[in-house]
Formats: sequence, C-alpha cells, structure tokens
Amino acid sequence: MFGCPREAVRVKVKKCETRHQPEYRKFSVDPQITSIEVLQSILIKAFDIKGEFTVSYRAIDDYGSETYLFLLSDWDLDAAFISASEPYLYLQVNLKPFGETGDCECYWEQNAQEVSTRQETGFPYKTPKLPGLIMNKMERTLNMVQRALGNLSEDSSHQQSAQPPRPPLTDAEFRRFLDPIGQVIHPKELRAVIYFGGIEPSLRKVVWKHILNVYPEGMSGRERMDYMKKKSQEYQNLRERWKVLVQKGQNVGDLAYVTSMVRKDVLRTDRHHKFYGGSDDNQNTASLFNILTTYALNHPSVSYCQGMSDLASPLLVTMRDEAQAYICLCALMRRLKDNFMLDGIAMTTKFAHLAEGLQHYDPDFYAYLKSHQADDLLFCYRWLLLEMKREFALDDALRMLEVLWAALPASPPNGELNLAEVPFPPPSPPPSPNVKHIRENAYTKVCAIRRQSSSASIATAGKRKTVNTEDPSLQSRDSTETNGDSKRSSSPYETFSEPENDLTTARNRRNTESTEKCLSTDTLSGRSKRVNLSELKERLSLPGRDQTKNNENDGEKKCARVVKNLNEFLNFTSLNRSKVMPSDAEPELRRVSSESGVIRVLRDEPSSPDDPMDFFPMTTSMTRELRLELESLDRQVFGPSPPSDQQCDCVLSKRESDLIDSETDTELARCSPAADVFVWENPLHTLQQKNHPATPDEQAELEYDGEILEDQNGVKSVTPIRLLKRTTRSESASDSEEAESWHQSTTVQESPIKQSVQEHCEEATELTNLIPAGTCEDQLGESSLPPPHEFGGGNPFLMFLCITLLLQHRDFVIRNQMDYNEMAMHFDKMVRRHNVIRVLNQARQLFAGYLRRHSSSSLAAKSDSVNV
Amino acid sequence: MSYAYLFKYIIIGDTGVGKSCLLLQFTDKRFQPVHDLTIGVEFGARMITIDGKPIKLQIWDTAGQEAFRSITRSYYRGAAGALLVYDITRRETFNHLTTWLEDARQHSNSNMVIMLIGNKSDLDNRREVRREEGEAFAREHGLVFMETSAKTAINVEDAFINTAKVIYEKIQEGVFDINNEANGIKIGPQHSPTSPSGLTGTGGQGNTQGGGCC
Repeated sequence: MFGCPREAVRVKVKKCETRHQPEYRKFSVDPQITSIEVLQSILIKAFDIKGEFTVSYRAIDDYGSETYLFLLSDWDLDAAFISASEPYLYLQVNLKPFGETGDCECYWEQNAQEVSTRQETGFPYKTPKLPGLIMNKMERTLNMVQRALGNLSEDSSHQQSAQPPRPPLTDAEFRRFLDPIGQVIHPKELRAVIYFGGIEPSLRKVVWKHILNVYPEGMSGRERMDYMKKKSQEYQNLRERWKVLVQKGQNVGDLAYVTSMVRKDVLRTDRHHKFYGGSDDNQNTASLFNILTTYALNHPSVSYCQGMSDLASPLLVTMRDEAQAYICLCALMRRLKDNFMLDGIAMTTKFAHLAEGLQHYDPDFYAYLKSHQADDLLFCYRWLLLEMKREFALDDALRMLEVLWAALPASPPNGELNLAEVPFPPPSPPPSPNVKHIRENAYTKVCAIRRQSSSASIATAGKRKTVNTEDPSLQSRDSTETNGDSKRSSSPYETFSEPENDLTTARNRRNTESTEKCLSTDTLSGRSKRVNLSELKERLSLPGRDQTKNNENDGEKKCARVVKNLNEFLNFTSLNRSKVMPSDAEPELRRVSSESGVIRVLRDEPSSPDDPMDFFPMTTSMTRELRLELESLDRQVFGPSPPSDQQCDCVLSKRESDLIDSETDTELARCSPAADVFVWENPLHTLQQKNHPATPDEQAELEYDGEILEDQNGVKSVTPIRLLKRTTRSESASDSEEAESWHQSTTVQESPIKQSVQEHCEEATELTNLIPAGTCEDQLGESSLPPPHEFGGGNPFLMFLCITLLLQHRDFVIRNQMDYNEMAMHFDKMVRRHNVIRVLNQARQLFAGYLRRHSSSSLAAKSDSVNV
Repeated sequence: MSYAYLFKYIIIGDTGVGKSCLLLQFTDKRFQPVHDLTIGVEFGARMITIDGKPIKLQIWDTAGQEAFRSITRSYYRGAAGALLVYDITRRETFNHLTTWLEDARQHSNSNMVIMLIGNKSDLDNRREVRREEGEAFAREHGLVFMETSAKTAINVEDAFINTAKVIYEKIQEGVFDINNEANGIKIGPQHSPTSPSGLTGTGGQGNTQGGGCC
C-alpha cells in the first residue's frame, strides 16, 4: 500500500528455537504480491516449521539502534519492505513450544508492555508465560511499540502509563472504611479509592461483594456473614432443584437446553487461565457450569446467553466459592441483564453512545471510521457486552472490572438480593418449556428491530446502499409486529407517566394522544408477539418503550418510503416538538434539559459539523429507529425539555471544518424554509435506495435523520433524533431498590437514579481534580455528551474505556489504512493484550474531564429546570 | 496486499459446530481445541489463488447463539459466500439448517454462494448425521456440500476455495455485480483496468469500472 518501488526484496531469515542452533535461509520475494500469509507459508516451507511461530523484522529505530519488530499483518510487512535494511530484509523466526495455546503469547506488543509495566510497578501479578526470549526483545522495543500505538502524544501520558494514580486498596485501608461493628462508612470514598487504584488481590473476595452491591445498606460485619451464609444456602437449594432433575434423568425442556448450552460454553471460557485450565473436568469449570445453569433456570427472562460465562468467570476466580460467585453474578446481572435481552435496546444504546463519545473525543478518527464504513463500531460488540472483560488478560481484567464497578454509584439491593426471578422449576408443571417459550417469543418480537437492523447494519458494514427500503414486505411485517405491542403497553405507560410527571402530565398526555392518533391512522394491525410475564413486567417499568417503538417504526418506514407520509410523521413530531421547544429561532442552539435528566442536550441544528454523532451515533436504521423511539418516549413521558442557554457553540465553530461534507447541508437546514421536504427526501431516497457505494454524503443523510421543527418564528430547523436511554435500569420502576440509589432532586420519581450518580460523580470529580487535568479534552467544550446516568446506559466509565482503546490504536489503524475487516481483526488480535494500567489511566483522565464538564453544566441545568 | 478480488464470506451455524475452528484452520493452519467462544462476530482473512489470480478472502465468523443473530443478520447481505456449518455428531445442528438457510436467504443478496459444511468428520465414530443426508439436503437446496474436519484440516482448504471458485465463476458469468460492494465482492486496488498491474495478471474481467476499492 505504500507503493514499494522495489521489484524484489532479498530476505535473510534466522530461525531461533530454544535449545537449538539457529538456522538461516535466504530468498527473494516480490513485495507487490507477497502478503503476510504468503510469507508465512514460505517460511513454513523453508524451515519445515510444524508449530506456531512468530516473525519479526529488523528495523532501525529513531535512535539508530537495531530493533526487531513483529510482523503480524500485511501492514507490518509493507512497513518491513519499505524499511528493509539494505541489502536484505532481515527476518527472525521464533518458534514457540508446541502445546501452548498461542493465545497469550503470540501477540506480543501489549503483553510486552504489560510485562514491563508490571515490573516497574511491582504488581503481584503472574505474568503470562511469555518466552523469555521474546520478552527481552519486547522490552527493548517497548518504546517503539508505544510510539507505534500512538499513545505518547500527550506529555503526561508516558508517566501515567507506568503507574495507577494510587496503589490498590489494602486491608488496613479497607478497615478504615468500617466502623467498630463493621458497617461500611463513607462508601463513596471507598469506591473512589478503588476507582483510582483497584483492590489488592487478596482483598478482592471481601470488597467485591461491596462494590457489586451484594449487601443491603447498613449491614454490620456480623450481619454480612449471616447474610452470606443464608444466601449461600439459598443458592445450594436452587442448585439442588435442577440437579435432582438431572439425576432423575428428567433433563428435558429448559433444563436440557440450558445445560447443553452452558456446558459447551464453560468449556471454552478462560480455559487458558490456570484456574480453569487442564482437563475438561476441571472443578472450577464445573462450578462455572453450576452457577450459570442455576442462574439461567431461575431467571427465565434472561435465561442463558453467550457472554454470561465471561461475566461469571472473574467472579468465580475471585470468590473461589461457587455460592458466593453465584450471588455476585446475581448482583452484577441486575445491572447487565439488559445487555442480553433480545430486543437489543441496551446494546444499541451503548453502541450509539460509544459512537457519540468517539465522535466527541476524536472526530478525525471517527471520520476515518466513517469513510471505511466502520462507524457502526460493531467490532466493539464484545467490549460492550462483556464490559471489556475479555480485552485484558484475566488477572488484569479483575483490576479493570473493580475499577469500573467502583466508578458506578452504589446501588445496594433493597432488602435482600434476589437470587431467583422465578424459582426453578416453576411451581406448577410448565406445559411448555419456559425457555423455549421465551426464546420464540422474544425472537419473533425482535425480528422487527433486527430485520431493519440487519439491512441497516449491513448497509453500514460496507454496503450501505442496499438499505431497508428494498423489502417492503419485511418492513410492513415489522411494523405490524410492533404495533400490537404498543397497544398492550400503552396503559401501563399512562399509569406510569401520570403520577410521575406532575409538572408535565398534561402536556405529556397531549403528546401521547397525538402519538396514538398518528399510530391509529396507520393501517397496522396487532403484533403477533406474545409477552411473557417478566417481559411484561419489564415493560411496565419501561412505559412507552414499545409504544414509541411503534411510533418510531412508523416514522422509519415512512421516511424510507414515502415522503408524504414521512412529512406527516414529521409534522406530528414537530407538533410535539414545538411544544417542547417553545420559541427558538436559533437553530444552532443546543439545549440542555435536565428536568428529567433524560434529554440533556437537544440540538436544533441538524448537522452540527463538529459532531453529528452526538445524535446520530449509529448509522443504521435500527438505531435511527431506536432513537426515534426513545426520543418520543422522552417526549411523551417527560414532556418538554426546557431550553437552557448553553454551550458548545465555540466547539461547533472550532471543528466546523472537520466535516466538510455536512456543511452545505447545514446551510440548507439553517436557511431553507422548505428544508423539511428537501432534507428528508434527499438523503434517504437518493442515498439509501440506490445501490451505490457509500460516500461521505452519508454524513448528510444521517444528519437529517431528525425532526423538522418549525418554531414560532416560522423558522424551520431540524432536530436530530438522539438516542435516549432512560430505560437502563429496567428494574427501577418495578424494583424500588434500584430507584432508591439513584436520586435526582429536580424531578420527583424518575430521577432517583440520577442524583446518586450525580452526587457520586461530583464527588468523583472532586477526586479527579487531584489528577492533572486532561489537556486536550478539557477544551473539547461543554457537555455535549449524555450525562453520567445515561451515558453508556448508565455506565459512563465503560464508554471511556472503549474510547481509550480506540484512541490508543487510532494512529496505528489510520497509518496502516486499515479497512473495516483489518481493523476488526486487529482488535480481535488484541484480545487479552491491552495494557490495563495504561488503558485505565487514560480512561480515568477522559472520565475526569467529562465529569468536570458535566458537574458544571448540570448546575446550570438544575437552575434551568426550576423554570419548567 | 495486492489482490484481484476480495470476497467476503460469512460463517454461520449453530453454536459449537466448529465455525471458529474452521476459520482458524483456514487462516492459520492450526487447530486450537481450547478457544474462546465467539461473541458477536470475529474476523479473519487469507489470500488464495484462483485461476492464477490472487483473491483475498475476508471472513466473518459469527456467534452461533440466537442472541447474536441481530448482529449476524446484519452481515449476510454484505457477503458473497457463506459457509453454513453443522456438526455431524450432533443431529440437532443439522436439524436447524433450514432455519439458518431461511435466515441467510432472507437477509443476503440472492447470489450469495452457500456452501454446506458437515464439520467434525474426524469424529466418525460419534457420527449422528450420515453423509448422504448432508448431500441430500445440499441437493435439495442447491448448495455445495462438503464434510470437513477443522481438527485434521481435511477439506477445510477446499471448502473455502471451492466456494471462492463458484463465486469466481459467477463473476465470469456476469451474475455478480462486482461494482456493488453489497455483493461482498471488491475489485483489488491494482486490478481495475484504470490502474493495470503487470504483476499478477490483469484481473477484473467483465468489469468496466474500477470498483469500489479504497
């Protein structure tokens, strides 16, 4: 790709193998046609290599000294050809002892850093068994690697990468957080300490249960012991119930399904780690099986999904006790089960926010991703689903996880932690297997979203032209399916919204009515999906979700098909919207509403050139759909969002030039009174329906994915649709325990969640102030990102971990002009190889800046919301 | 590096049938009995040669569990080839083929070449699905069929390469619109007529434009 001028490159290879004399070979290759695969096969033949091996090439580093860099990809090979020291390209082949999984060892770069970092900081970790030979070289090349990964751009980061801001929490320190009877005092400070330094491994077993919200509030040490004893017994009973069935040979239905799924997966979960290593009958693997099976059977709304084994594994590693690990899993899954819901809403929100965040912190890289159709960020799926667990070596993941958990506000269970949603087996003999029932229902239900998502994501995944308009039959089916749902859920929604929004009820009602009117004009029929009890319950707690989905599907469908209808839809929405935003002729104004905390930032400008991703986080119609859905949810449930004269304008202008493509369109949207028609027709119909390659124009397409508003002055503007995630805590309404811990003063019910985050975050902000302020990112402007209780579906720190990984590799990716696949492969290769300290440090820094901005903007917002 | 064409593949099938192992065997020529279960989609690539032309296969290995199908589906339409894999030692994975096939057909472009793979042929003693059944299913649904073993590598190369051959033939026949990336085919950067390269032959027959390459 670098256009190597040479016809042929002479190669000299040295093969190193422990306990053997090195061997040498020479040959020539044509740099134009030699790929890494070809080279590897040449080497295999040349040396008759049987096992795994690594290849590195000699290069001269900036200091003029010789160093060997690894050849992992075609990009590396290109670099090698270019930098090949004349007259030969010197390669070195290192054989690895056979039998190693190759998992921990072959990708060297991060490991090397981890190794060296750990040595510096003296962490009591076992290092992955890297062959010493490679390790030495690694350390030598550490600097180069770091430069290659582009992490050292900031002056401070080098130092930071070496050490966490504070040492891990020790036993003595922890005791200071306990009063004489063992109650935890200053739980927030405790979390802060853990957030900055983690926990000493020996203390994890104790402290994790605190930060995972296993214990109800205010327990003494004694009470905790009794509680755990009782809960452990409860687990044993739950486990016994299905074990007996298995022993009796009644392994059918749910039980058969779950056990077979779980068995397959525990056998491939962290097996390279010594804890789960060895033969398949490893006792710990069996424990993991028991934990997951018990969880799945007793939580029919979730059942078992792949990924849960990755979540449970670190818990078991740390607890070293099946029952306690199970209890921790239940606590963890309270927060994470939404990730596994087939509706995909929680995950979609996270994707959307990640895109939004990346766009905010690195618009250039984001633009790069976009130009490679990689802005769907689907290669981050694993990061989000497993909360980065697999991106770090297991021992490092433990550190990362505790830091991440500590970054969340405490959310102790109200009363005892529930270990079973519906105890298995259900009291009355279930006529139909529960799990199957759920799967089928959920499946058909989600088909709606997915079919759209599929076409859409495909579109993003490189072939965006073939978008969803192609198959109207599918679409109408989709809408049919969703519609009935909305009917079902509309009444709970009302009961929910009325008491909830005293201030805005009237308005909400009107909004709701208009929504329904809009819906009823449509010729959609009832949805076929049946809801199981728990789903229904969830829906009760998530009023409006389905309703709006429906509404939103409508919009989606129409906008993809008929402009007329679309405009009707838009008119409808703008009706609502104009109520929401009474008078505002300034299209660029960003509004911050924190009255409900749900919409924090509303943007009237259709395509703020700086970061359209703030409201168009994903390019798929699925997200568009969800955005619409959630937007209207907000509209209905929470009513108008008060304007607040806010911010960001400077940022806007600052980065205006970044995304040139959108500029013209922005103009249009700003000044054309007829922009609504134009805007919608143009992108969706010309771009999406045609099958031509993605172009930067998509920017425009996306940016018009919003609602057209006509304000009182007759000025039209487009309000981009933002993805809102109010639904993160699906339990919060049904399960008051959650709500209790989340508290927000500005609104009455909805916001409990926020307050504690807010407080927590404010506090964290204070603490983060101790850290040198992030340089660039503090200047990025005001809080255009969602507030902490929303961002990342309520886990903002996760977003910053993901963004950090992207930032740390962005130079490498861009320099090598990686396409979607290569990028995805690159990050796949980095599994378990990221440097936990460096990643955490950078993520903390970003997070601190974000919290600072949010704490200041939320103050402003609070005062605004008083006027609602 | 340089390629005449890039074909995008997708590997689908029930969880645990050996999709990731097939990919690893094909790309890295190794078998890893212990590996991570796939979350979402994982990615691989390898260069092959067909008719003297270097062809890059870009392979998307999907998670088998239903919870991930929202993601899986989104990849169908961008694929030129699909390996639909079942496990010859587990009857149910064979029984689910119809669902997978429907899904694939529904969400892919109509020209996508689907290869049916009965994997784990090394475990003949535990076989639950006869070879003939696989053949019959393939015949009935117009698929190419092959039994493979990711463990012993038997037929793994062929599975991927034969699929590529079929795609290649379809290109020659003009069935595929190679300028539409949604078909999962890309013309190599140096093989479009506008930038001829003498090194690897002149690729891109039948195409008149230098398709969507970066």
